[in-house]
Amino acid sequence: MQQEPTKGISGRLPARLWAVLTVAVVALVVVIATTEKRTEPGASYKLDLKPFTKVDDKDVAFRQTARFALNLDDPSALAVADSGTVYVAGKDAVLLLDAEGHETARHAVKGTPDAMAVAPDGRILLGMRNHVELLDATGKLLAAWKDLGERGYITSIAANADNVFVADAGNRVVMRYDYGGNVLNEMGQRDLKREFEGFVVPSPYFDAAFDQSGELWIVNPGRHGLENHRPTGELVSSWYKPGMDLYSFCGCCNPTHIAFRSDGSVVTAEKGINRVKVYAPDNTLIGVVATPDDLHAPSDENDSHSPVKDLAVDKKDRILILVGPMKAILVYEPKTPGDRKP
Amino acid sequence: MSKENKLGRRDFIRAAAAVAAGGGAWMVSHPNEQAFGWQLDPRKCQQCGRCATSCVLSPSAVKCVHAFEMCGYCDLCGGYLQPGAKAQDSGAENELCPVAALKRTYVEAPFYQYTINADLCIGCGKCVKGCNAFGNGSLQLQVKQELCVHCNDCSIARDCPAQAYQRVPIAKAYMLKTLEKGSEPTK
Amino acid sequence: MSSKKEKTIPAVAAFAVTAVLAGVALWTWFVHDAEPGMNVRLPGADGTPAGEKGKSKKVDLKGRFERFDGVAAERPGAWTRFRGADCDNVRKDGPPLADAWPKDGPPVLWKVDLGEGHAGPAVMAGRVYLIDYDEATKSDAIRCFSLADGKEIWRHSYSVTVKRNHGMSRTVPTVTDKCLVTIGPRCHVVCLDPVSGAFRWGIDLQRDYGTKEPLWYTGQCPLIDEGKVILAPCGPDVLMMAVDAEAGTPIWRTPNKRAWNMSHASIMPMTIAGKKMYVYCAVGGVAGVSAEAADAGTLLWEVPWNAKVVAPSPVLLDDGKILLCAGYGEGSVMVQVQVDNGAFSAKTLYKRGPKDGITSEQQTPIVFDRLLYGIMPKDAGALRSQFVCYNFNGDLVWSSGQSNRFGLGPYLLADGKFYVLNDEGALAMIKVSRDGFVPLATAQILHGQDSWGPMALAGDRLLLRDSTQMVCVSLAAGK
Repeated sequence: MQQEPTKGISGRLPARLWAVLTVAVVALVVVIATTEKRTEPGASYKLDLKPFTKVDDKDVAFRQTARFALNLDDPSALAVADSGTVYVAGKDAVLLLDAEGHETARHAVKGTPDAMAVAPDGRILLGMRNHVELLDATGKLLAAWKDLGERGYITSIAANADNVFVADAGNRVVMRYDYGGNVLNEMGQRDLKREFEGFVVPSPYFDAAFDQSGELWIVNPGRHGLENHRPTGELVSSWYKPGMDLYSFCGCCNPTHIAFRSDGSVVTAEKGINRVKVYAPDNTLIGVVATPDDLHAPSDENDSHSPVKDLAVDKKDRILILVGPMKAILVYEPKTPGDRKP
Repeated sequence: MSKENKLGRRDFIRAAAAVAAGGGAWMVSHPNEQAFGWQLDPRKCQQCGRCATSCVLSPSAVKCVHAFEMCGYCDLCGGYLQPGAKAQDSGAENELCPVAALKRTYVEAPFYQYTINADLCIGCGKCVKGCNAFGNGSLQLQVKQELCVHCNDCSIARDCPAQAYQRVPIAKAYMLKTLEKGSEPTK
Repeated sequence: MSSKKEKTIPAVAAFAVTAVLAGVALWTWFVHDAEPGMNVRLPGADGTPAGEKGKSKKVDLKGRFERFDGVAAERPGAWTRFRGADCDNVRKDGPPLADAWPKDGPPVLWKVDLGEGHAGPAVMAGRVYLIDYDEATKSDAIRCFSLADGKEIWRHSYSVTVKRNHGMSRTVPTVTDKCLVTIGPRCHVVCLDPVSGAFRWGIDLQRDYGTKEPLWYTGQCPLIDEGKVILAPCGPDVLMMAVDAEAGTPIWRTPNKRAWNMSHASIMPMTIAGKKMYVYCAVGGVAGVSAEAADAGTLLWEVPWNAKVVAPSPVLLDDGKILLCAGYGEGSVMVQVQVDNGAFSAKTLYKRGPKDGITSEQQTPIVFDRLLYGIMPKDAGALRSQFVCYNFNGDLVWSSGQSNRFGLGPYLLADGKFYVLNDEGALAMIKVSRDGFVPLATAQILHGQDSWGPMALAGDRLLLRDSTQMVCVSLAAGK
């Protein structure tokens, strides 16, 4: 019996279909070769920072309890006097607020101070870009101290009864003055014997503050941490936490601002991921105060400027956050157990 | 008119073409104030990535350039390191640039200099975004004029969601953000 | 062959050729577009110097030995460990001490320059022992000096990197006639022969036991008790352990079930309800561990406490009450240890803020004659930095007043007098009194900063230090 030859694939499809397939292959090659662009870049070519701005509610340890609206343009600096009065500096003015945020007085100044401190006796110190102006308690200008040169850029002032410490981001030094405007010493000189290599200040964020014991702490922003210096400048201790996670200080140069609570914990503000946190005296994170969403700055990736212009802690141990774009001070207090979501 | 002196139609077309080609070449090689090209404004740029994918060239004529005077020479560089990098070093797993175009060189503790290999850079802007978010914005995207073929209708400009592209005089073709006096980032 | 088949074969052939050509074309296109070379990108390609970001190396604790020309003094008196022989900072016997000082203060017999830190000395058989840090050689240096003149007798050093963090050194050695044991800033335990300085053994608590280095380096002072070194590594597995003092071999270990961490406090031996135990306040809580042979190392009781920074050591009051103190707003906690049918338990009686009861930030209060003495922390409100006396009920008996403030410096009690050193190196002599603050004299002994290191009193010689210098002062009566 003659066996019917088995039909191959070529025998099952008509010639016309083969021709169509041939044309299709040619067309495919042409399409691939001429369409080398994708309409959207792939994931590996994109930087998505949103996951880093998310804060789990369990990590938020403080809640906003008040908001002080400011009748002030360009609010730029914040301080709390020993009397409890809250001082806010901005364009052409320094406002005095009571503990509830009501304006009790207003001093006119020329320009917008970049930094401010209030001396124990009520005198006001303003950082006017490259020099300090000293005002009496009524806002009258007493003196304008010698400027810090063309590069001078004052970003913070910390003052106690005897000394005024002025952080100059432009020259990467902290100047120690007496109230006569005399320079007592300059802090920030490289001291390799004590393994201090100076302040690393890549951007105009450079803060200094006293802790609850009166010790001077200076942010070394390029090293992502805080340093305790003697008034004469010697480095006593330091801690640094570079990194992107919640427990660390992100970006090129953080924290931007610091303030101390009465228990020795330190409040920190960061830019890049705009957030405010509190660290315990052992440098562990207590929790988040204000999330990027709270600051209405979840991820403005085209702007490296911080919406937080300054931080302070008031006499009730409340955390005050001066948010420039909001023209407001946000007031935070620790959450109580009932505040936490289950 | 003798036949030798008579310019034939074909000769005339050849001569005209030669003049046109020569003139065109001269114009390309001698741009003047009135010549314009495409450039993107870094102040408007959103680093969407389309500069890498929409250009008629592959790789794109858009490259990252570095304004050194703005750079903080940081160790923890938001333009160089992956956001969650486990180490601040040059290991491939820690680098942000998908094509390894951004290099860093140790200067002294804790400073590093960052440079861009334009041959590798594809203009995706990933590093620019990181630098803007966490640093001083010294890494910026720009159309490299020597690479750009100067399309009349720039395909990137057409796709740019930020309308960052504009025609600029070739003689002043770059629009870098710089730390000009009085223009420092403010607190 | 049918005509249909005749048409199909060329079509299939054309398709095959086209497919091959298409494949070649695409392959060529891909190859053309690919990067010509691949580079391996590894850490270090940026030129970062080796060691700049590297992990710490294993430390060779056998280290180096140097001998000098100092000679041990022929003098009585010893101060063998942190807070003295009874761990209470009270000298029970010894020669009488002067009740008044000359105008310029008690005579300073000798001075020794030290590396920056707050480590206190221990004294035995005319030798003064101190663990120092030598920045020049980047080494912990266990130094032996003569009590007579301060001349160095020998030195055992081992290389370890310690960066300044409120100084480097912190701990007080413990010494017996057979062993000298120290703990370095980075948790290195070393045992030497106290006379020759010969190396006996060493333990790296971080590497061997997973200890988390405390915030300001090791503050825990070692304890030798009945031939055993008692340590609290607070690693993942071991809360406390005993090591044979001469051999360095483990004897018992107490599990760290609560995952507590090492604090800056030290282990205190206590006897409660007739039971001897070792009490340690870690970061996380306080625990009592049996010190008796029958159940040595057994956890007897524990109480959690969430203070983040604990430097003062536990203080036993009476009836099983233990006072815990901490700075940075924590205040104090009173723990009640009790025993029921041989089973120990403990509970927190009360917590008090720094303005509401005795507490301390750095030094450990002294118990004497059923009263508590100490210096209040800076966050104690009106009592800030005052020398105070409290009764066991927590009531203030007296304070030194606004014009007599001290700091974070040490204090001890001997011959009816307190010796209190302030931050700036002024030594105050205060009469022990139940009725009030009775200052006897003050003298500026030291001229440096941060005079916080614990003092030692051997006979009538008081050893005290600031951050960079140790001095020996004679408190002898009648001179």
